[in-house]
Formats: sequence, structure tokens, C-alpha cells
Amino acid sequence: MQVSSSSILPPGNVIQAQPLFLNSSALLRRKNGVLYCTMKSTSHSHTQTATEEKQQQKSPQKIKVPPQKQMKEVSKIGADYEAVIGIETHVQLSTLTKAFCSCPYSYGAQPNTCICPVCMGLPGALPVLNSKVIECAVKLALALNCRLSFSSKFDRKQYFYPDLPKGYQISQFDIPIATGGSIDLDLPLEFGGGHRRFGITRIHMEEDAGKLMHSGNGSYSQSNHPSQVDLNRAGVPLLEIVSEPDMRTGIEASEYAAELQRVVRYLGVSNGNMQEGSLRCDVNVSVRPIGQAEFGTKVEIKNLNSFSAINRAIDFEISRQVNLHSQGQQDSIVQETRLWEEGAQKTVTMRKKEGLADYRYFPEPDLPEVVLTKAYMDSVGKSLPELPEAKRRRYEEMGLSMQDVLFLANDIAVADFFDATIQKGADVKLAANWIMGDIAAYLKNEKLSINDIKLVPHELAELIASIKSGTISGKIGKEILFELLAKGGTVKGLIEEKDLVQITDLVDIEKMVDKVIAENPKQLEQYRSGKTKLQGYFAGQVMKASKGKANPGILNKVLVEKLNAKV
Amino acid sequence: MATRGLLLGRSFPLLLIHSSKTVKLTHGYGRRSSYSFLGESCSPCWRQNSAARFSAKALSNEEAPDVRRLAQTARISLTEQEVEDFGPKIQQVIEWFGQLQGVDLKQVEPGIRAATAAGKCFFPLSKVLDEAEEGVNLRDDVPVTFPKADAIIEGLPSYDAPYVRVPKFLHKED
Repeated sequence: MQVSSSSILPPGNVIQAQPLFLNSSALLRRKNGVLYCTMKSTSHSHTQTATEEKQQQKSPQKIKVPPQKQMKEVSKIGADYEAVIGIETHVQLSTLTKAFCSCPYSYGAQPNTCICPVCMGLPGALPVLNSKVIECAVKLALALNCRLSFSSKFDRKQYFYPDLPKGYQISQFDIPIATGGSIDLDLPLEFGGGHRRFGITRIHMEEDAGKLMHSGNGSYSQSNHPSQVDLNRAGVPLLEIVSEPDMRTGIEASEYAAELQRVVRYLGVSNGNMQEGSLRCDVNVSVRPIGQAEFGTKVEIKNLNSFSAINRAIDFEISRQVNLHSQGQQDSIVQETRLWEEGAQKTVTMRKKEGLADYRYFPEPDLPEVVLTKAYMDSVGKSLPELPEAKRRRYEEMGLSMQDVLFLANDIAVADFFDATIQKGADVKLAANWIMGDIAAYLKNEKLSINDIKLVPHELAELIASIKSGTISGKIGKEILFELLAKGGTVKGLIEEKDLVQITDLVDIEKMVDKVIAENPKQLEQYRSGKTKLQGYFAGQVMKASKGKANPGILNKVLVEKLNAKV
Repeated sequence: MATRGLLLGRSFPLLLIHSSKTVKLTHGYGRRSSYSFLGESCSPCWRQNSAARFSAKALSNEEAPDVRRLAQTARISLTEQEVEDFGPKIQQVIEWFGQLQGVDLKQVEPGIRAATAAGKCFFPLSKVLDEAEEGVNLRDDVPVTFPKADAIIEGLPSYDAPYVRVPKFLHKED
């Protein structure tokens, strides 16, 4: 397969501006399980075994070759290698209390104030599971088409670290709450578009650790040891989602993460904010020559704070590894953790992994089994909203373009607004245009979300209908919209109040045109002598006289007639 | 799985050997003492843990326990004498548990984990269903502020308001 050559761009170039991706979306129709590999994975002990390789589609490459010769060579080399990418995502649940105690958690609270003996790991304190955590886990598992375990358990993952008060993390090791799912997404058009389905290996529940504060400049350098800890976050519930190593490029990986964010926001289980840390992604990248069954050495990348960082970091790492391969130095690729440096736009070694960490997992003796009944699963299933994938397919079927589909389905509040507007009978395409155009612009300017505006869906529907029926002109419609957004009200009310009904009566318009022509003899002269552009001037005058209500189409027709008539 | 069972068997006996004079703790970050040591009642996990969770090889005639490594991972410092003494003792405990290998489990459904004393488990029920069933052992998502947070802060060994001061370290597991 192909390797994106966009990684060779000098630092600072934004990938999005130059889609150099080699895979054409139409050709890379990935079926579920094209490359089927099981990973017996927890977040730290990866043992990869490629169990089956069902098909390998070698798609022809469509390369947009950049001007420099060096890039040409590297992308040529890159074409012989395939990248294998897997992602571990931690989603911080937006429950009111922590996982195992009743401490309220709020991001940004004064350090070390949301604490109690349980989350501080004080002697004798015992964990009690928050029922909401199970509900969130089941919701997410159902949304990702996973198999739910009727019975699962918690385990202790033991290691010593200053942000881990108990000396162990309560997690789920070998019997997680959900396994074997998938996620569907559509790649953005500027990257070639296309549908993808990526596998999900497992989902499990665990608790978060505290936050280490790095003194000094906050960098990860070896000499800059963290020395302070804020334990507010310790004990906050997390869901860990481990993907199958199905992604092949940086953009697929970043879209996977974006879709996960979309899903958790749709479900309301998390605000999925990478900047806040409520959505964290660790990426594993390896390359291998095309046709090779075994995986190459896997490298983990941390410190990814945005979707575009995921994209760029992976592309960089792929090209780093491919370069080493092509120089015969593939043995210098070792299993390690690397950090993505946003400033330098490259990955650097953090530390070399010396074998697998030994976490001495054993079942958490203080917590009972988690038992799910069919009735419970069904009732949670019924409470799920329409998910992004289903929405996208439905919008496509309604005839919307992919661009519209992706925009509208991105935010559930926007999608709901759109759906409500449609339900009142509004034209699909027009509703989409209003929302994506004027309304979106307003939201951006005023920094509001669509739930904050005073405009309600049925008024938008009314507006669209009024314009369609000719009651008001499009231009007037825009003015009304602005008023509705800011102050609310009804379309009918505003039309009446401001007397905005469009003038379509031919006789009325002719009268106005006659008047304007009579009042402007000089311009009439100029028009007759060749300055036909002045038609716009006359139109403007009529509009002014009619307070913008004259129907533009009829107006211009009459104008042309009258201006050219009298000889 | 085999390795894990083995490690499980090995860490615990070390902690169970409660020699008050000689066992010292190092780096004891919030060390839990909710499970008890040998000589008092064992935690239910030990008594009832299904032997099916351990593969056939575990808990028995493998090489002698690596006492030094066990102590290192548990952050317990031992004298040379203790390292020598504890090896055989640990092995004895392992063999004692190893008797479970003799049980014929072909007809027994493997358990996920030991049931707690009252046989309870987490049983999330939808709001629609009647919640009077036994075994509901969950907490509602209702915030309660712990009233003595400042007492916790006061008990910290080293506090750099508003943060907890921690010693220097390099990596996990160092």
C-alpha cells in the first residue's frame, strides 16, 4: 500500500493544505477484516499475533508528486511499505462523581480539593462503583457494535508512581466489559473522502490517576522532573477503547479519533475534549514491506493533543521508519515510546521499553462481579440517540451532498436542529444551506452554540416557506433571519411588523419604475447613450423607494423594458 | 495466563510473611492494608479463588521464587539473610496452595472471580425494573463532598500548597 508523502514536508506546513495522499478513496474500499489481527492487549502489554490475513488489496497508487526530486524518491520507496496503526483511547466520563467514591469532579477546580479517603488511597477505605459508569460503558459498547460481557470483573494493575495514590489502578484486565466491535466513518472530502470501517478490540472501565505538574517550563526533558501532584483527577472514571490495528495512514487515524469524539458526544458520556484531557490517544505505529505477514516493530507515540497532531505525528513516524528500512537500518527501530514535539514537528525518544511491564494483575478483591442482564442492555440500547453513522447515511439518502452531510452530522445539536426544521416541512437543501451558511456564520461570530440562539427550527421552516412562496424576497429573508437569531420572534410577526411583504404586482412595480425614471432624466440619458450598467442604479432606486420589497426578478424585467422602450 | 498465575502466586506470599521486625517498606505511596496478613483471616479472594483461574503449570514445581525481584516490585527492602530465608518459605506456601491442582475441575464452570462473602455482585438495573432484587451493590451518581478534606491535607508528608510534593523519580517502575 501507500505511505503518505506529506510527512516529508518541512515543519510548519499544514497537511490539510496539500492533500498528497496516495490512496484514492474509490480504490481503497476497505472491507471489515481485510487485515485481521488479534491483539491480546491491555494498554501496556501488547502481544501482537497476526492470525489471519484475509485479503490484501494492492490498489494502484495515484501519486501527486511534489516538485522536489528527493520527495519523489522517498514517496517511491514509501510505496513498498505498509503502515500498521493501532490506537488506544482513554475517554474521561462526564459523570457527576468519581468511579469509586462520591467525590464531585470538575475540571479546573482548585488542586487537591475534590478528595476523600477512597480516592486518596488511605488505609481502610473501600471502593464502591458508580452505577453511571456501567451505564456509560454499555452505551458506548452498543454504539460501537461490541459484544457485551454478561459477566466481567475488575482487576488491580499494580505499579508505583506519584500520581497513583493506592499503588495500583483499578482496571479490567482479561475480562473487559465489551469486546469485538467496529466504528464507521467517512473521510473528509479534502482528503479524498471515502468510507472506512475500523475494528474495536475491546472497551473496559478503569479509573484515572492524578495529575503530575512539571516544574519549570513544563517540557518532558529528562532533567525536568515533575515534583508536584494534583489528586483531584485520581479516581475519575475512564473508558479505555483499544482499536484493531486497522488504520494505515495518519488521516485514517485522526478521523478515527474524531469519530470517537463524535460518538461520545452524541451519547453524552463525555465531552471528548482533547485539549482538556477528556479524550486521550496513544498511537502505535509500525511499518512492514508489502506482502510481509509479520508486523514490524511497533513504536508508541504519546503527547498528542489534537487530531491534526495525530495525523502529522503518524505521518512523520511512518516516514522515519520507512527511511530506516530503505537504508537497511530497520533493526534500529526498537519498541519504545516516543513523544511528539509539536514545536519541532517530529517524534523523539522518550525512553526505551525494556520488555513488557509487569503489572501483577489480579482480580480486585474489594469489588464484586459486574453482571449485566439482557433487560438492562435492551433498556440502555433503547435510550441511544441516532448515531453519527446512521445520520450520515440517512442524510445521504435525502439527497444531500457529502459535504453537507459531514457538516450537519458533526454536531448532534446541529443535526437535531436540522431534523426539526425538516420535520416542519422545510425543503431539505434549503434548510441545509441556511444552517451551513448564515446560521453557522452567526454562531462563529458570536461564539455561540446552536442551542443558544433565539431562532427556533419551526421559524426557520416558516422562513424558508415564505421565501419559496414569494411572500418575501431572499434578501429580506436574510434580514429577518438575523433578527430572529438575535432576538427571536416569529417570521409572520416580523413580516407584519415591518411591512416586508414582497411587492409582486406588475402594475405597482411599473408605477414605481416610471416614477424613478421620471425623477432621474440625466441617468436615463446616460443609459440611452450606452451606459447600460446604470440599470443597476435604477434598480437600486426602485428598491429604495419600495423599502426593498420589490421583487427583483419582476423589477429587472420591467426596467429593461421601460429603459429600452421610449425612443 | 500461566505466567500471570505464577506471579500472582508469588507476590502474595511475600506480603503475607509478616515479620514485624525485619520487613521494611520503601516508597510506600498510600499503601493499602485492607487485606490482612497471614495469622489473621485471609481475604476472601484467597479462600475461594477458583483454581481454574490458574493454569496447570502455575503454583507448583517451577524454579525457586526470585525473592529479590519480588521484593523489588513490591518495594520492600530485605536484608541478605531475609532473601535467603524467604525463598523456601514462599515456596512452601505456593506448594500448600498447589494442592488445589489436585482437584478435578472438568465438570466445573470456571468462575470469573471469587464471590464476595454475601454472594453479591454488581447488578445494574434499569429504572424501569423493580430494584428490590438482591445483589444491587452500586452507588448512584450523586456528589457528596468529603467534609474533612483539610485533615487529609494535613496528614500529607509533604505539601507544597496547593500541590502534594513528591520525590524525584525517572520512570515508572524505576
